[in-house]
Amino acid sequence: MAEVHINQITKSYGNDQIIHGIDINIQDGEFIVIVGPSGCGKSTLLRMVAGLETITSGDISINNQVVNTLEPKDRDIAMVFQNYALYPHMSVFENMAYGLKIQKLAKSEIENRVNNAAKLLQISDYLTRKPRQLSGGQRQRVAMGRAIVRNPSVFLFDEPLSNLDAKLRVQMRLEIKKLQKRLKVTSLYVTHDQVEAMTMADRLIVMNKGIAEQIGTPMNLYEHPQTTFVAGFIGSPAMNFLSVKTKDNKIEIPVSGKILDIKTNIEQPEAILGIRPEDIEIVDSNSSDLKLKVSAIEPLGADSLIYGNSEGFNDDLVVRVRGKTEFTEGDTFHVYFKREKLHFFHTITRKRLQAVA
Amino acid sequence: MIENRPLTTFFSHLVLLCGVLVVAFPLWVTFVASTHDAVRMTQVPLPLLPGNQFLVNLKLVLFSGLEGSGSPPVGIMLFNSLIMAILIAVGKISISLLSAFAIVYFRFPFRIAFFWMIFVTLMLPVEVRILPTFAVVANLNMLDTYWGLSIPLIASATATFMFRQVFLTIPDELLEAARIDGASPLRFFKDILLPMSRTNIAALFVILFIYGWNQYLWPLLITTDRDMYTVVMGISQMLEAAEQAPDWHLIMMTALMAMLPPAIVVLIMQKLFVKGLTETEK
Repeated sequence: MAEVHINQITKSYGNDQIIHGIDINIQDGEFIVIVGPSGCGKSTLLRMVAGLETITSGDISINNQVVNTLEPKDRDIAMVFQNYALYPHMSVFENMAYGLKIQKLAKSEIENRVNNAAKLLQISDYLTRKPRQLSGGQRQRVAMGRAIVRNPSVFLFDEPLSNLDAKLRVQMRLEIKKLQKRLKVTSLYVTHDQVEAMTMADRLIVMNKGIAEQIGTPMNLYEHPQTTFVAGFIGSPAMNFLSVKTKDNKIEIPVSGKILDIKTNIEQPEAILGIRPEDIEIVDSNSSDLKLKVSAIEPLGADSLIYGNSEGFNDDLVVRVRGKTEFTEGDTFHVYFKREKLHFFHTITRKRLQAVA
Repeated sequence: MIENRPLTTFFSHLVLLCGVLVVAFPLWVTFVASTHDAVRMTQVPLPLLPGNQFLVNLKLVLFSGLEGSGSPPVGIMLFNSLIMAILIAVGKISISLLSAFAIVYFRFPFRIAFFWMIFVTLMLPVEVRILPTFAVVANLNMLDTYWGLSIPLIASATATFMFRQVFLTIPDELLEAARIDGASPLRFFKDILLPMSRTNIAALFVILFIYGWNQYLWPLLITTDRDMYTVVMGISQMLEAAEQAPDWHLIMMTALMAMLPPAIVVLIMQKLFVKGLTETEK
């Protein structure tokens, strides 16, 4: 159990700065997910906490102790790797016991801890097997077990579910979350999968190009994204963006010429309007904000996605409707944007604008 | 590939049989010759069927050696060869494992330079540096010792490279997992790297044992004490034995003895040997 404080951390390889000053304060027992596209520096950040990468500047403290120069083994952490990193020549038991053996714990204590962890993870039957005789999901459990037996202050997960198939991933993410709630160990979890991030996190950190774009609860990020990047990254399918004109406290959609009936205090002449696919309604021409032509339809079962296009658009606008849709390609339809669900962003800084007065 | 063409099957078997004959016939002649007495071996044609002198010859060769050849009993030479081959194989493997470990896992100054220095030794086998090496061994008073026989042959770039390749295929995450588990570098080497390179070590042991066993020029040069002779050089000494007709039956018996240990090593380690050279999955 521990608090983790990350203070103005940076990382450079030569002249190449890849992490630009990140600040995070993690509460005791919190489940923090770091999410971002590949190459955003999320794994590097995690590895710096683990002590596998050196820190260029800034401080990391665990349990109020600065750990910048400590070896990984002295940081009171445990890590689960993407490819599990099990020792192939050791049995499941030996894999889990290896760290404890090095700590020179008593044999009975080691057996005790490994058996308890195995029971918790339901791998007691496999303790004598070698990793290659296990399925991906079982290997993942062993890797978790190896972390649990160490009884660490902090769990670090580096994309632990990416090598599993989709069904198992859903199952394991639920189990990891439950396990963490039960053990109440502070956890840092890195993933590129926003669904994983949304479902598991107490708080989310969205990273992009070495900076933390936004930190907050999943719903907070979903409802109040502070940048277009966060808005586009969280939620699937991604948020739609339109450029709009603002004048005299009014907002105009240039493509349709429609002036939205909301007041705004945006001062710039142009802004980016963001609207999620599920916040767009299909309506008749009377209350239309925009007229679109269907370019593609994706039925998902419970929902359908309609991709609509209009002259003057670069990208299709995605609309999510419940159930099936009667539209076919080439049909035209009218959409209405739910006013309370509109997001506005600055065209240059891409930061959120508080639009409604 | 599954094919059913009788002619192809016949032809490929024929080729294989020819190959086996070419390899096996000299071995057979050696064996047959070792089972006859000296008189039969001087008559023409040479025998192609075994005689009844095998045990007599074996006893003579193992324990009393060839009269007038200046060679000790083959038993002593076999023992010397065995010690030399094992020292060379074990020494080469230990040194190569450690140097490959250093090169792959540590960042130290002039790492690349050291790597290339090891690489360059590929171009300098014992035969090339035989005189200076002899001088060094002589100055260190290692003539006529097991260390003198083996140490100059131990430094090995090939084995270092092989282990380097093996270590490079081991995922970095294993090292990181071991670091988090608290393993020191040597502990990682002992607990993770060694067991994971087990099959490669076995394969290399087979190759290096045979390499050491077959050494001829170097033992010939540095051994003057007949009790330090190795069997491979001993055979050739027997041929030049004291201006008399070569005792073919005894020489062939010695050759047979000299062939056995490498064959036994290969047989015992066959499975690991194949695994070590072909297995890629870690």
